[in-house]
Amino acid sequence: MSRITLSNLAHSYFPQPKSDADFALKEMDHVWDDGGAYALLGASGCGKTTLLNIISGLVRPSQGRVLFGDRDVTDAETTERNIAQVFQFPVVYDTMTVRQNLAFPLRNRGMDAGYIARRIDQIAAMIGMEAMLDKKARGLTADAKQKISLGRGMVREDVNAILFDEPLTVIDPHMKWELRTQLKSLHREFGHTMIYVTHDQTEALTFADKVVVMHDGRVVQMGTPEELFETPAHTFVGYFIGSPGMNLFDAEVSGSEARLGGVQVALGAAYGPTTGRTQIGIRPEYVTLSDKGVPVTVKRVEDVGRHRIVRAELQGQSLNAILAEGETVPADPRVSFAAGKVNVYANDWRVLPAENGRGA
Amino acid sequence: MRIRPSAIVMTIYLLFLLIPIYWLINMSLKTNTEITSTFSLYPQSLTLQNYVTILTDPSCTWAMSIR
Amino acid sequence: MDKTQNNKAWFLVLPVLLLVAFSAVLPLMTVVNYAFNDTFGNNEFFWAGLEWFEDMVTSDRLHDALGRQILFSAIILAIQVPLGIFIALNMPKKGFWASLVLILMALPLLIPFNVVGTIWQIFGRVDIGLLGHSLAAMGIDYNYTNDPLDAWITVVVMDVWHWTSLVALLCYAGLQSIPQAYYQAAKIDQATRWSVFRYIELPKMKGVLLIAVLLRFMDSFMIYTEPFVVTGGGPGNSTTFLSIDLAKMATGQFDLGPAAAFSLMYFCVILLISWVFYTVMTNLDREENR
Repeated sequence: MSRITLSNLAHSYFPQPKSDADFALKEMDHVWDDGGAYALLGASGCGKTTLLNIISGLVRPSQGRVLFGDRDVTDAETTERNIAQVFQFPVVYDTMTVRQNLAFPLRNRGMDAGYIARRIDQIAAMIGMEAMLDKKARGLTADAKQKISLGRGMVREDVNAILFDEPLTVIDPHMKWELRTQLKSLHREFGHTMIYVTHDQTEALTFADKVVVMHDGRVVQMGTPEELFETPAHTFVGYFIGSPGMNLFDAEVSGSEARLGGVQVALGAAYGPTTGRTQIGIRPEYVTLSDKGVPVTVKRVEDVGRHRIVRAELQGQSLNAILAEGETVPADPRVSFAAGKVNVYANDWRVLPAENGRGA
Repeated sequence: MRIRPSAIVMTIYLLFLLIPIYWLINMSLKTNTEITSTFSLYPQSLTLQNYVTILTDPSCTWAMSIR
Repeated sequence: MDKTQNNKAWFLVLPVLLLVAFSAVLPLMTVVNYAFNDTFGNNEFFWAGLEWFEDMVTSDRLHDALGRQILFSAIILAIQVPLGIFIALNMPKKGFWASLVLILMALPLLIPFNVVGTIWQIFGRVDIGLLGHSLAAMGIDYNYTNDPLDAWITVVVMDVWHWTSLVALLCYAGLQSIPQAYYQAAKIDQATRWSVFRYIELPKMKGVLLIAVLLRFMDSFMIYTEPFVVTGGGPGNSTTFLSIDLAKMATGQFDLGPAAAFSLMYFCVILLISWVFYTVMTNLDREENR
């Protein structure tokens, strides 16, 4: 087990990348703590899998170094890195039994037979496959096969990290929750560093201590679920996390006020002058619909059960607000934003208020 | 650059496949006297006469049912 | 649940049955007719019973040809299947080179059988062929028209040249269907190259390998044109395989009765061995599924 350091890392699938757009992963510097549970969250094609494969050594980065603890493993083979990885689609050795499948990584490393047998019993209990141990893997359902893959990923105790590449895609919804809980408790018990790639925010937020949000080949934010919700570092995080995502408005910011078309909005803090495209962002949860504040046009109201989502327009820009149960839309709807919950963005990156220093 | 073993295997196999075909083409471009008198890896006096013969000889053209 | 029986559907198969009857069964019946009768021309037939079959079963000439045939097919399978797999494993997976290699490998498969024979007939000649000439230049005494062993080597190498690509291409198709994640998982599990082959690649190739073995067995067991062009069955009878012997008997000596009986037995032997191959290989499969 060790800390993972990505230093000056970047990767392009082209031999001679010309522009920024040729890079699947743009330059990044990050440290992943030993024993952390991380979720790599992002839309399809944002570079999540590339980053994961660089860590596991299946892909060699075009620039930068990867360090496990103090050891530079950039050029080390996957096998030397001592890493486990579970893939999106089940990978099982068809002609082997479930038991042989689970034993395979241990046998290849020349472990003692008694130890292997004990370990397999533990893992089988964990993935709930004790009864099927002597069945051939070929005839099993996709669910069961993926559980074998998970089991094979976790069978080694001495790994530096376990990487999961959207491992629950093919699993039944109720089983998903159960397996995720299992993984989580396993993490608490053994303290392996776990990196879990997903495009599902619920999965990411429930699994991880720290969520790493990726967008367009960049890590745009690395933080706790709360940080991602309250202070998204990038407009993408605001938009991607939350349902519906953060409201973003083009605005002009001066001091502690923003001008939004014809209206003024209080920001709750003072900001220095911004450059580039300036936006302000507010979570729908922090928008209050009443008869005070800035006038909006309500387009429609969607009932999602626990609460309702109001789709509206503010100065020609669309706005979502959450309406708690029992509240009604006023005849002359106006909105106000909760003080201190408004974030300011310049060219998509969050701007810190002036008191705390300037710029992001 | 390091040469991959698989490239060597494929080169040997493809040479094995192509050399006999090359030899047939080589023969087709030689004159009869050249074939019987000398042994060379490529036609010394390149000729298309064999193709002319085969395409104009009546006993050969019927086989290809040109008409 | 009971299904309703509807026998009218059988009528839908009728056109196919008629077609097969005309194209396959009728000619076969002619052969059957010759096999059980004797004729001296004039379309007069005398019932011969099993006489021709007895002749053929006890014929040393047939035994020798059958022995040569089985040896030939065994050698062909023993070389082409492993070699085909080996080549498939070494073929480039994608890109320009993959396309080029595919095209070049398909070339021998596109050449007419008698041209294949001609190519090797010339190629092996000591006076004008590159192979024969080079071997002679190296001081190796090689002459496929005089030496039975040289003739055999030539015919086997020719068949390997002609058909290994087929086995390789079939295996290649099987290999291409393996997702990249399997190789990555194997790396992470620290599998050896042999394990990757044994547990990932071979299971995926098994279906196509069955087809490859069957095709190669049937084709090599019926081989006629190429060795006929190269050696004409010689020197002596050393490369006279079953179908060459059959043709000699039927068209050379005009022994139609024995040839017909021979054909029928030949046909049955191929059917039988193919069936055995198929059953053994599919049973292995089922065994592993359990």
